[in-house]
Amino acid sequence: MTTTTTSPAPPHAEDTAARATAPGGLTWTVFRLHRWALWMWIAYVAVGSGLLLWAWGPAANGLESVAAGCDLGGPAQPYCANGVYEALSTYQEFMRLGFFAILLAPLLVGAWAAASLTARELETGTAELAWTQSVTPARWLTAKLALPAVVATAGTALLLGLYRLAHLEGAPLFTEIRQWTPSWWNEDLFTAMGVVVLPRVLCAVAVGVLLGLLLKRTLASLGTGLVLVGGGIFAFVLGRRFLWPTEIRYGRDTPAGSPYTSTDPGEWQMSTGAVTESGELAGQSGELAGYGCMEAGYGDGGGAFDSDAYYACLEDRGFTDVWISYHPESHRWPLQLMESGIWLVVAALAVFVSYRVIRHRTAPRERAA
Amino acid sequence: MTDIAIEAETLGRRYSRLLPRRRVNWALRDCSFSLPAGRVCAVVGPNGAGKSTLLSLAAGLARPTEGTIRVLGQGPGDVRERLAHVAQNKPLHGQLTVIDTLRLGHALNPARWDQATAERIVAQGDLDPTATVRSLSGGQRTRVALALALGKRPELLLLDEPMADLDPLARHQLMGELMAEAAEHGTTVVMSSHVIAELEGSCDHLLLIRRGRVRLQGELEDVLASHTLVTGPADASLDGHTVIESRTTGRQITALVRPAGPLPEAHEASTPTLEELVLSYLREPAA
Amino acid sequence: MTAATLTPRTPAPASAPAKAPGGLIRTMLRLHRWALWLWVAYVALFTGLLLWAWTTMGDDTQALLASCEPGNAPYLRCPKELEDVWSVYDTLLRLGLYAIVAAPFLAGAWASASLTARELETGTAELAWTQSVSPARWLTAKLAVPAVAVGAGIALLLAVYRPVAAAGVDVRDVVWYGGAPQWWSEDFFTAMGVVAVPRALCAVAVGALLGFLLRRSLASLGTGLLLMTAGTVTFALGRHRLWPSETRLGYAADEPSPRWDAFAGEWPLDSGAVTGSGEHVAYDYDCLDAVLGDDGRAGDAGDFYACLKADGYSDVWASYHPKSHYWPLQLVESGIWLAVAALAVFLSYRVLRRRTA
Repeated sequence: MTTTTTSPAPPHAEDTAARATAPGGLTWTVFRLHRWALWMWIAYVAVGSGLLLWAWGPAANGLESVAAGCDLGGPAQPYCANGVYEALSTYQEFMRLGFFAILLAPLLVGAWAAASLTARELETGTAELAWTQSVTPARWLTAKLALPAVVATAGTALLLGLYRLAHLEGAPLFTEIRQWTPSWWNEDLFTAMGVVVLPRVLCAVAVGVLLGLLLKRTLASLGTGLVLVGGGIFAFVLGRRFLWPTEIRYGRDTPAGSPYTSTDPGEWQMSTGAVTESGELAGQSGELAGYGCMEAGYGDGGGAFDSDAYYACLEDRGFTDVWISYHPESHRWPLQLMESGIWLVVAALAVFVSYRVIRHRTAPRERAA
Repeated sequence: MTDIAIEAETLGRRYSRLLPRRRVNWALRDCSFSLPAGRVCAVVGPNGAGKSTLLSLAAGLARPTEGTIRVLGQGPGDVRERLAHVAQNKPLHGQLTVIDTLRLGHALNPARWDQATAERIVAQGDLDPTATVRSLSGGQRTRVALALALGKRPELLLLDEPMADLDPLARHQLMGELMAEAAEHGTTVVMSSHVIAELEGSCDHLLLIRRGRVRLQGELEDVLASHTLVTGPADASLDGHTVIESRTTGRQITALVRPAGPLPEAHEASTPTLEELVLSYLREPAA
Repeated sequence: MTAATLTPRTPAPASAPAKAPGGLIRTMLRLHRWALWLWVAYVALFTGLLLWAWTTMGDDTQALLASCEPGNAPYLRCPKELEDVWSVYDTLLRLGLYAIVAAPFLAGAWASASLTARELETGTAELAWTQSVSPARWLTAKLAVPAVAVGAGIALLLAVYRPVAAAGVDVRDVVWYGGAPQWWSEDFFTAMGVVAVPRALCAVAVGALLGFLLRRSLASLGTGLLLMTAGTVTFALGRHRLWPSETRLGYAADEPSPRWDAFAGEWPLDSGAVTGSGEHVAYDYDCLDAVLGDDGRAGDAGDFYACLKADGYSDVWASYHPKSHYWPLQLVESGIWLAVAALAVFLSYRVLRRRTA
């Protein structure tokens, strides 16, 4: 064949292109190899952003204008209420989808990282191709970790920012219409109004890369990565409450005399019980006693609560007081930071082990550069 | 440039496999040799002899379990820029086009890349540079892999079974191009193969590995000259000479020997071909 | 060494020519034994969780429930305890539900990545085709064995879910004050019906076809998941069109107020007004607010219809699915999934025939 077929561009154009790629050679390589993934991620973030922008703009505005036409606190107006309800559902639906986009991001990123980033390269042998080029394996690994981490974080951060805007736009009206404030510890608000998703995404990339290096098989790595990231998220959903010490309030300290009637809706209630005479906090038995005495407190008529009768009943059962443990809203950021910290520690550990694995697998640099 | 391309001392590499049995496999053991620079060296041996392991160690893709290996006078990790390695399965990114594959070579070797050489090698094959690597045939893939390796202008080129999946014609052509490039730039080529025909005429140094150990090494001419293929009556004694392998047909014996002095008169002596030499060593009963 | 590390991955096709009956099936099971174990573990785990949920609704709970009859004295303590039991039960039941809803996706993801795509990518498919079994029989085994395993697993989960969900109804009535999940809601429709089985079978068939067409495991996996999601969402949104809905007119309801919504247990679809010419059109219920009393009480039906007539309408209408449409809807949806599955199977055989001559 003739040489002309290989260089469709004139030589000088080839040269400039070549010079342009040379400095960020590894960067260009990673982006070129994962071009499809990048496009898919952009599409994903675009769809998620679109949903949230819609919630922020048209859906929230629609809700506002419908609600403005109705007297929310006044007598029931079925037609009006129906309209408000529908506008609110629309807004909530968009917010819910936006939340799912945020919640799923670490899983998708983790699945991709585990399958494509290193596992596939080791499976097909292209990793060894890269390691015999002029860049060191450690730099190759750095590029494989850093670029996806930056891109995934940027996309997720965009979604988080838009969710925050859309939520702040609609939440006051929501509260006014529904007469209750959505709880800050609910999965959607905790995740989408916080920062934990960002370290989750970073951890997903790091763990995915490590799994790929260890398993060297695309599908096995993908499955394991999904299970690990999914399991991690699930574990935090269940166990997040233990990440920060709860506060305890005693029944006698509350103005109403009963902790159960004075719980602030912004408090995340953990457990309840009663205090024994020796000062211990009894859990289940105390809780039973506490509930059992409600009857005494309310009397037969179910009228006003008589706290003296209530505590007399408690003392008959061997308890001096009732208690409730809870997370006040001020624990939101400590909880966020603890969870983020754990994800980041795991991510750092995965990164460290990945470098160790690479170093163990390839010949070292003996000379200082 | 140093005079020695690869120098190994009691080099060993072990793969311990925990499953299914607690067994320790030495892929390479106690290998000491030195390959001079500027040569085309053939690493020959049966399948599983340790050829790929040796090339991986030289390319810095594995660490020796014991012993040392020096490449171009340094540790393999320090000379990544100066060597190129083409693995047996010719790993390339299937989703890249041929042009982008060369671009990748440039991006990863900014200091050394020679686009013209790489393009020339690609152009000599009958392939569309805008086609994705995935759509190429085995031979075309090999060509692209070689272009990627040679575009780097390596001082040492490590090729693991480079021509294994090529038809004889393509093999001949590609080998010719490869040798021309190597000669032009003074590149040291280390090539493993079990197809002796593709080595004959192009290699000037031989490294024969069997069961993880070096059995024979040296300049091809010297090696051939130091061996003699003898044919003679079966009852004649070859005592005193090192018999590598002997076969008896009827009353005649054919043997490859490393003569220690003059051979018996009754024998007809000839210089072995490379193929005869290698096959004899491979058939030699385990020591 | 490379040769040594690669061989364990493909021993199964080599043993394919075992002539013993079921040799092909054994090969299949061996080749995908990891997937099989994971699937068995998945089904076992969630069956176990569902059975655990069942045990929480045992005699103790029934006794507690009996003591919670309205009017019984310790009503203040009882709901709390009942709620505790319920929350455990409900969590477990919901996990079982998620497992059922997720199962077709998992089956589809696996089938599109591993079943054929991977074999074609690595070339082991060609290896299998050159053994003494014909490619068509190879494909049959590839489709039938996973179909049986997946179908049986999901059927088991569905069979366990039903009685467990029924066992909690009494407690739910107390805890939720008589509220119940709607039969048409996505989760309930899927978990209490049969659609999950054809959905999973379709996922396997489409996965196998995608593997054939794309020949790349990751591309096939992504496409398979995307298609499954699109299909499931389409049905979730459009399922109500699968069976003709019923329409009720306001006058026919024989109630003191006009009715343009559904009764409890009916799946409300749409509502509107009837024009003078008998057409059913959308209507914004302006007349409802017009006849609203100052005290906030709903207006008289007569006033409402008078207002409606003044606007040029003769009646209101509401369309809905009665509960009796549950099984027709299930069966039509199942049928569509199966038809798609059959098409995918047919195309797979066609593709295979063309490829192997």
